[in-house]
Amino acid sequence: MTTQEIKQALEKDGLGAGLSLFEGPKDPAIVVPREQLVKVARHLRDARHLAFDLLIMVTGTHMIEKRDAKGVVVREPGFELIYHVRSVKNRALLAFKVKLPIGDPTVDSVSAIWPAADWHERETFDLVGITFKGHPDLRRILLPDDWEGHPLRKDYAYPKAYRDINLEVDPPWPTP
Amino acid sequence: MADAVTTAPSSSSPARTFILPGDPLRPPDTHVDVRTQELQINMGPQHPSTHGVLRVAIWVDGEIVTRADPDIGYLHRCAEKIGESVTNIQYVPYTDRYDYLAAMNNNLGYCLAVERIAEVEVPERAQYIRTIAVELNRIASHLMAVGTYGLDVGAFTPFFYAFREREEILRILEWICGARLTYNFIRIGGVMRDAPEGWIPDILKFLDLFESRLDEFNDLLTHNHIFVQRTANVGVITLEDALAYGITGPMLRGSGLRYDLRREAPYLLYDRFEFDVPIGTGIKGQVGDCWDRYWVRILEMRESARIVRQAITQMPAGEIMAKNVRHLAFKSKPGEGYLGTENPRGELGYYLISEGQPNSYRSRIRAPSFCNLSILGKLLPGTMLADAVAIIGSTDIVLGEVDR
Repeated sequence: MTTQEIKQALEKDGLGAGLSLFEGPKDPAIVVPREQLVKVARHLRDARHLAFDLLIMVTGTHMIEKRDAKGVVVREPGFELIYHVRSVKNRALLAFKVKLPIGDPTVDSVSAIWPAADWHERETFDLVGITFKGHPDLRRILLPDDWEGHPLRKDYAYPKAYRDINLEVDPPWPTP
Repeated sequence: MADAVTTAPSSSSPARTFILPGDPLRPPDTHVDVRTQELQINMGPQHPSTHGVLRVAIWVDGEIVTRADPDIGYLHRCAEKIGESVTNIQYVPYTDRYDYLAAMNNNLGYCLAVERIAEVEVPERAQYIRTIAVELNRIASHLMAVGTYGLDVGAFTPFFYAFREREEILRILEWICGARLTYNFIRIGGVMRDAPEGWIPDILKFLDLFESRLDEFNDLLTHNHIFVQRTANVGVITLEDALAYGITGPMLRGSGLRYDLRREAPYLLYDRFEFDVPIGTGIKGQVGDCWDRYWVRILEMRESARIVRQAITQMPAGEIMAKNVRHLAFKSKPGEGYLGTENPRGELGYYLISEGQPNSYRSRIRAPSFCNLSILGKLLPGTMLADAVAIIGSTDIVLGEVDR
């Protein structure tokens, strides 16, 4: 099953509202509006012809604004969540994305649908700073609870100190 | 005391009184003040059975675990942030450090993901050398898993037998790349160096010996009555749970699903080899118990040995490195993609976003141990505290990969 076919199947089942296809230079993905996420996810898992029962990964990316050579904006700033799910029965791998605005990075949690999402969403919350509504236990997972900021954001500033530990180095950390 | 143990207490309950039955020294209507309450135990981060720096906060009621909360992050080394700031080629040695027991497989997963986006053609000989290296590393990793698992449940001797074999593999891998643990051998575009003179015959000699020594290991540990008693019917993961919690690799196959990415989504040259995908069938207990997960690893070692033999017979002569990637500032092509490979612990995936620069815009690691560990909070409640050690051991986690 290709991503295109899965999108058509979703449209046939009446969940096509707002879906679009992301066709990057490599892997395609279905872009799901964030209001639709839980509905689409539940259908992907439960519908017998789709049966995406194995959640592989959830992660988020901070997308900064990108302009081409003429200065035209080719990519708006925002957050992109990407979900990878596998269907054991159909031997398929599907990626779907949710785009979030910079000012309001919140989205519904899918951990009730795939319990595997629990830790992945906690990690995304921890490192990228996206809030998952309805998550049973949303707290930091890799960093200490009192850490400030979300390191995988592109505008993350390295802290000067943590508790009593001096973190400043000479020469200073490179900024990517 | 039977009453005190079977009555489920909660931490907020006040002191309760119990009548102790059958105590001849006490009149039958005496009330004794016995306080029962949940006790929280910290298992780790320095506990040897947690295989690294895993801390599990366990709440126990007597000997029964009522709640478990794995606490990770002690080994967090900003893997994904580093992946954004160094170039793709510089990042390969970092991948060694995540799952340090299967460093070759980690190198491979990352290199394949980069090569896929950058559209690099890898010469066939390099692919065969890669196959031999990762399958040998898989055997070494499984030997570590089964050896330390015996150690966890109290069998000390098999550990040394497992390490004797593992030592041979480390010697073979050291021969080709000069390192024993973090190899940095598989590079983007191929491998670091060609098979040295005498390397292949040495592997064959090892494999002949290894298969008979595996039987010896089975006699020592696998069918050992005490070991079976400690592991069979313990920590049963049903197939539904395994899928729901995103469990992959030997743990998923131990629950009875024949699912191996080398079969389902072949990468490298795995579609050219004949091998079986062993699954747990509940020989000693139920399908998906600790013994099944252990047994799957033992059977997989034989399959890996089979693959190495086939790879050696089929290996052609030729180049070992693609032409266009021999400099550090090698630029990838723009694109984003995910590639999953079958690590000894499960599906290791790299999700990369490239913007055509030498470094990735985003580099995310899907670590199998991270997902396999997340079921612990569901699996432990209701088991005995001593079984918690057996269950954590059977998940075969590497904390370097969990925390990244």
